[in-house]
Amino acid sequence: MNAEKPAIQIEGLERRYGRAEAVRGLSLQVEAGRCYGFFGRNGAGKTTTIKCLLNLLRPHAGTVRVFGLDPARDEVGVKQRLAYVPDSVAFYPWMTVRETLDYLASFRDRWKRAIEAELLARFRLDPSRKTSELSKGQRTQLALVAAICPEPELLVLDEPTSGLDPIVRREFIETVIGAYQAGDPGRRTVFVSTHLIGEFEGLIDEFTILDQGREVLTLGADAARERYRRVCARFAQPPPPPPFDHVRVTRREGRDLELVVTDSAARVMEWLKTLSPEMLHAEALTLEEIFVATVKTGEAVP
Amino acid sequence: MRTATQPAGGTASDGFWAWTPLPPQWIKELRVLLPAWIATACPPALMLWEREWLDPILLWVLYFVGCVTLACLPFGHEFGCRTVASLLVQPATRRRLFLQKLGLLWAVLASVVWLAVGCGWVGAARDPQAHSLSAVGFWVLASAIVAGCTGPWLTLVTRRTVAGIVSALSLPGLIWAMTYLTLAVMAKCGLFPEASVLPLAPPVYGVAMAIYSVGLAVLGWHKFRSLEDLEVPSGNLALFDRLRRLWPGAVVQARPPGRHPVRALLLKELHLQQWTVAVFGVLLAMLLALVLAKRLFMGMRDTDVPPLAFAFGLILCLLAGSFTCTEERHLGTMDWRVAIPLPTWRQWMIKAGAAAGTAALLGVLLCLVPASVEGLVFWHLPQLPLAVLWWGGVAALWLTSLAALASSLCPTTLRAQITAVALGVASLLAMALLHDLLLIEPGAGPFLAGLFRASGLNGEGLGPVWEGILVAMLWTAAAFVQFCLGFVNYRHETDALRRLPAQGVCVLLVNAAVVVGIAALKARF
Repeated sequence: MNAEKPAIQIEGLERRYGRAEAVRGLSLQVEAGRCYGFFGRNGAGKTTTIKCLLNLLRPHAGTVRVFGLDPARDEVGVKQRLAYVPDSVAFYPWMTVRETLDYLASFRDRWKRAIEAELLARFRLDPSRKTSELSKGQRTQLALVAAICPEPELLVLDEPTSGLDPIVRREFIETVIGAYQAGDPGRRTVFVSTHLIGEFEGLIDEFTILDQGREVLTLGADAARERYRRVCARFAQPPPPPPFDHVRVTRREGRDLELVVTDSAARVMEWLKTLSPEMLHAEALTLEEIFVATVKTGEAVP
Repeated sequence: MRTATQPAGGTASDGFWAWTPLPPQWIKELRVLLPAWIATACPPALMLWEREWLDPILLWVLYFVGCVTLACLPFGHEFGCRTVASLLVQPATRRRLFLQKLGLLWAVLASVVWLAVGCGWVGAARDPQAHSLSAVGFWVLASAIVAGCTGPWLTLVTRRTVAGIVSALSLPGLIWAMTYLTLAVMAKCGLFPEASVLPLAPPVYGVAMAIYSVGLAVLGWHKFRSLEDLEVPSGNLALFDRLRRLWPGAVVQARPPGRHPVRALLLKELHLQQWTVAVFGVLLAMLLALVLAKRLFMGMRDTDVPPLAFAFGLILCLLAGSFTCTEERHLGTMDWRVAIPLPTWRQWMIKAGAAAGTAALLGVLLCLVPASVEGLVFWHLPQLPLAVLWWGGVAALWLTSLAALASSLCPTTLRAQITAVALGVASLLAMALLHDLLLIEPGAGPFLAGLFRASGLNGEGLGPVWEGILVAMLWTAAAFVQFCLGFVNYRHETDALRRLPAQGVCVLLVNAAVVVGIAALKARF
């Protein structure tokens, strides 16, 4: 089962559309059992990377491995172990929900009907309804049901929560994804590309930020929270600008100073203390704030 | 969440799969092919219904169109439903997916061939003089094989059912014309006697078609094996972009806002007609090849080109009209009409005008370019200018309006074309019947002759000019009503399909009124 192999291994991936470079030399590795976030702005190359991973697009350079296997050569071996929810979900319009699930189940060696029934009930999806009558959010829900029922080792989600209402979104992330991973911890991997980074805050173990086809930052979620900090201070006099490269001033009004520190927060704190602040406190950034700070400053890979 | 694992392959719980032992994947494929299968089976079945106007060649053409449609659907519907990615990520090899689709396609084609040969056998038993079983069998089988081999690749390349169909239908014609042209050139060069051209043409065409079919079948597999899920609108030729790139120094410049919105809309509409222009190019090449072959080799029948040009003009009208709304739906840009600060009726006028104008212009060019190459010597119709005017004007307007109406009603281009053809045939039948009744010409002869009489182009000499003008005005009025019905659907798009029965009846009544008008004119004067 290649248990020791990483779930996903990408080396120097490149993919172009005509003259436009979508992905430029991307490398990343996702260990099995992790929930991996894949963040980036629109057009950053997230969907292209995922499609290369699934053999839906051919890379122009670089290698892609899933569980140590080449998706182009061992297509069944790879696809038997993963499930995919695309960003724009589509089904055959003449099929009902029931028929769609039966159709998708017919490709699988195993399919948990009990989970299917539970999720259909949870999402309030009527099995007798035609897929053409479903809303965008309901189609996404159906795709999620179809992705989870075969209990794959790797769940690849491309913008899975777009179109879902806040209640279903929360339920999906916390209950469905959480329960899916908890079902076999250490073995089930989630690779999720999303804009709604805040929604996945508690689940993400590690993440990569992509910008203009290039990897900008790869970090563990806890390490990132440790490293990226917001520091707020108030002084008796307007403070001088901080003499650090890895510090970005986000607010400097009168005696108030707010900084985003991307490394060595302790050194910055020491420097601030030397200025005798009236008030000083530091807090970890959320993943979404880290994403914004990283993409805005275009920070290089550490 | 922990539950017992069940094997899932091939299970079916309820729904329409419950009664069948077939796997859901097979049922899905057969469900896609079923409507086209029924439509393809109709022409052979009509052979059993012996009627004077049921021309065997027309039935064969319809049968071939059906076979091509069947061949384009297995992959075309995946592009149409945007389920390519969903299909390709399933844990099955591409070889298995391809063989499954193709296997079921060939099984369905075999069933149609069997039905057609059976009908041909009944026809031959009834009337051995009129029907040759071996000829019927050959054409039926060859058509199915050519369609089955070429349709998949052409659909995979164009990424759209309707584009695959028009390509698969037009390319054999182009090969046919090129075969004649090549043989004529070779005979002219003295490679063999000119007398051998006509006997050589069928076997050479057969070999060319065999190579074409086998080649495209192999390419089909290679294309599917390397198929990518590209995020581009399927079926986009980018024809005009390619043409624009030919202009050195063509630079895209920002235009000042608020100026020339009509021009912008018109350009957009012309872009939507890219497939009509592409088909026009293939058809024109085919006609030119035929004309050139005739110039080189005078032994060819010289009556082939004008009827073909007329028929091709009709096809272009059908295409141009059917793309008006369905192309926008395909691209997902239909809802922009509500955001554009231009009255909806003006938008529709631009849309309809662009379609009718494109159809008329290309139709006229299709008639005139081969004629001018030939020097008009082989055009035996004495009233050629009027014929061109008729097809370029009134007929183009009428058929384009009908296709545009169907396009405003139907979700896809293919359905719009089928609906337009069905409405057109029903209208023409009603008109021909009424024409016979009202003009008191019982047993008025073949169906097409009746139509030509209704159009004023009966080849038996024309009436006074004013009569032709009045008849043309009546047809134009019918086209106007059809465009108005299309506008109603364009403005209130919700549940447009539900208006189909009422608007179908309306179309029949309007077109019947044209014939009544013609009858009244004849009776009055």
